[in-house]
Amino acid sequence: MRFDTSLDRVPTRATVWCAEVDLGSRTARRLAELGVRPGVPLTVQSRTSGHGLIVSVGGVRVALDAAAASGIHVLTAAPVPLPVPA
Amino acid sequence: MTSTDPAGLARPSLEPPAQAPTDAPHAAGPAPGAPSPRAGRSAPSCHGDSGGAGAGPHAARVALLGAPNVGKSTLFNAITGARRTVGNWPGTTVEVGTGVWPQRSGAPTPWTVLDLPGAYSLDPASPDEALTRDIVLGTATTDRGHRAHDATEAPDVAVVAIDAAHLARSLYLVAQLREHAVPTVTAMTMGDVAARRGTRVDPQALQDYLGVPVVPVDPRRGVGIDALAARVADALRAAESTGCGCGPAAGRAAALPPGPTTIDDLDAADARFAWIDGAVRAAVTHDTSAREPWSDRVDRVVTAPVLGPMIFLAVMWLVFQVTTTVAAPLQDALDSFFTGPVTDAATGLLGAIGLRETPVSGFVVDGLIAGVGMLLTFVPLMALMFLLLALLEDSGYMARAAVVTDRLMRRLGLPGQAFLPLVVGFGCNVPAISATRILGHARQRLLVALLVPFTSCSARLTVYVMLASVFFPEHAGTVVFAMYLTSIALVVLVGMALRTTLWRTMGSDPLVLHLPPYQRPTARLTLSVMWTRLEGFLRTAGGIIVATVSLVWLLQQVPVRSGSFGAVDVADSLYGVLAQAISPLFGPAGFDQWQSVSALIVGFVAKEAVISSWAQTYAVADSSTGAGAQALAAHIESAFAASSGGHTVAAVLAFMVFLLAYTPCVATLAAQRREIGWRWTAFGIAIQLSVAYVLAVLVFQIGSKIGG
Repeated sequence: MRFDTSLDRVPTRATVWCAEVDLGSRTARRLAELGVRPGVPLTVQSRTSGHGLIVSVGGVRVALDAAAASGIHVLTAAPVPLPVPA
Repeated sequence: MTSTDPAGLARPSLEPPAQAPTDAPHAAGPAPGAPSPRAGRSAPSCHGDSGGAGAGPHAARVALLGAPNVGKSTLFNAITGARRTVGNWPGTTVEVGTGVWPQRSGAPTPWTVLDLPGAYSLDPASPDEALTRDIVLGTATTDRGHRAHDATEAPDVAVVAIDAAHLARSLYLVAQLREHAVPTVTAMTMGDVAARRGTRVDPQALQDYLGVPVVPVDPRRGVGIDALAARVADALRAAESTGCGCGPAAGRAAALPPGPTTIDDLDAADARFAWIDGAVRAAVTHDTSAREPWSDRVDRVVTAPVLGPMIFLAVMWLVFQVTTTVAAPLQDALDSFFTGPVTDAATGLLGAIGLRETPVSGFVVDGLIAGVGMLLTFVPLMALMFLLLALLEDSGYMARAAVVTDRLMRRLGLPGQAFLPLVVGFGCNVPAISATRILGHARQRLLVALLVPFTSCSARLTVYVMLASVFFPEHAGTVVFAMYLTSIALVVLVGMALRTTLWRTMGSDPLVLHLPPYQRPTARLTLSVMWTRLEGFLRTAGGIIVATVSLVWLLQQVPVRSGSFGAVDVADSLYGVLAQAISPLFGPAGFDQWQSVSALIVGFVAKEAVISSWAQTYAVADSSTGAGAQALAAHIESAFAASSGGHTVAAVLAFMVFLLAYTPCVATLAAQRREIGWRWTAFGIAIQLSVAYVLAVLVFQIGSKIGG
């Protein structure tokens, strides 16, 4: 899947769109349950120690460490839905 | 460490301990559309902490579940009037609580209520989540691995607590419950938090979309419980009359995805998320003019890279400083009360019935009154500490503390969540051992269960405070705080040592932690949590103290060198002789004195009994001075001065370090045996005693050289 960067490189307060979660099935499922899924907008709220960050997704605040943030690939612009074939 | 499930999806193997729930595939649950279970119910028996009995074998069973930290246990307490431990952090419930939904809370007849561990879904990532899944689907097993509940014993109705402020993360479970045809009612919590964030949820629109009743509740204030009971009663009636677990509003539900047994798991998950998105679109409106939540601004500060850890340390220091300084005058007043009027009255009473100056008088006055009285003088201190920790938990700060300490935990190969059981350990090691179940990997659970005894529990605090106020009266708070820092250092160092020797290959999931919104602690909840813990401390400590005081008294009456039963000098008794045989071992640590060594032996049973044992020994040895705190302090001061060759401070510090590091109590050992088995428990005892001894000798040897 196409993506622009990973979440750990996104500046604070910027909003990006989740493109892909490359973290293994257990972590990916936990993230999905918390709302971090391909296509949803994510806003980086702040940085934490050890290069982690707090991300806002649909009103939920999720703390991620550096490993989790680097495994979330994001788009810097809203994804455009593919046209539906006639 | 992966296995393959029936859908072909690789998933981590949980390797649960012998007593933990098994990770059975969810195909083992009732098939979608199966008739709702009705008969042959029995109270659950999965784990010890039941929190109370159910409403009887024939009562309807209502399971309370939901994502972590949506207020399930608070709701359980509001319904049942029980006092389960609750906190504004994920993973507070790790065992099943059982209670009665009484008629005063709206039930037409009493129902059995089960408070299940938090779970985002029925696809467990840890043993506590697996327990929830197994009970809801009727596939839970007993301690011996047999099925404790067959399909006929699944709950009759599931009440899912859903968080209005974070609706999406609460609804995945609802989607899966409907696939499994479990009759469901939702209790919508956190309405006040949602309102503050500019989020409005329309309960009717949500109910229409989900096809299950949605009842707004505020369990912290006891609002909405009767309405919830009415909908549960409806659901029970509907399920009984139709035999289908669809709930009363099912006819209007939006289309649900098919169950996971018919299409690939990932597709099923995508379909559920799409369904959830539809529910949120249908029922939730956001006030776009709402300002940035202040909790985000607070988070920016308390989890900041450098400032966050400093704030965490400052908060912990403040807790112990306030605890020791504010409680001190109250402790003195209680001590005067027990050594004055209570002792005088008991002595007078015993004199009146002709038992003055007899062994019975020694048992009652120097044993029971001194021991129990000493314990009760610590009630203000414990109450204050439990109150402050409850405030921190209820406010939501503890989840931030887990983020701050994550980096430290990583060094041990543990995720940030491992911090949570370790924090629980600072209150009491026993529930902390159970709390290791929130961790996904068996090796992580084992490592944390071995590290928990190094967290300094509140029972050890009593001895620190007593010694610190005697030997360091000007800096008691700081010395006690230093003991807690030493405790943290021990957890880290022992953890790193184990990591680099035994568990080099231990993997660790990245940190993904939901941060609950901050909330203003309510007096009702905070005081309730404080009282639950205080009551638990008093009940455990009270029983142990009476038992150990009786045993110590008995051993002190048995003559070995001279005298006869009931008329023997304590140094010549079985108690004294045994302690004297062991005490030379502690010469290199500066406290080669049998009175203190015997207190340490008693402390192996429970740290709560250390001071009472000291008090009893010295009071029996020298009844003229009584058993008051001042007299005891004088005895201990001179004993340490004598045994250390003048290096009193070094010897006291060595004693405190030994007390911190050696085996906490037999109850912790029992909890460890349950979670990690005897072999690892014995390994843990060996580590604790070795670390305690080596550290105590080092502290004394170095301290005495530099002039302590």
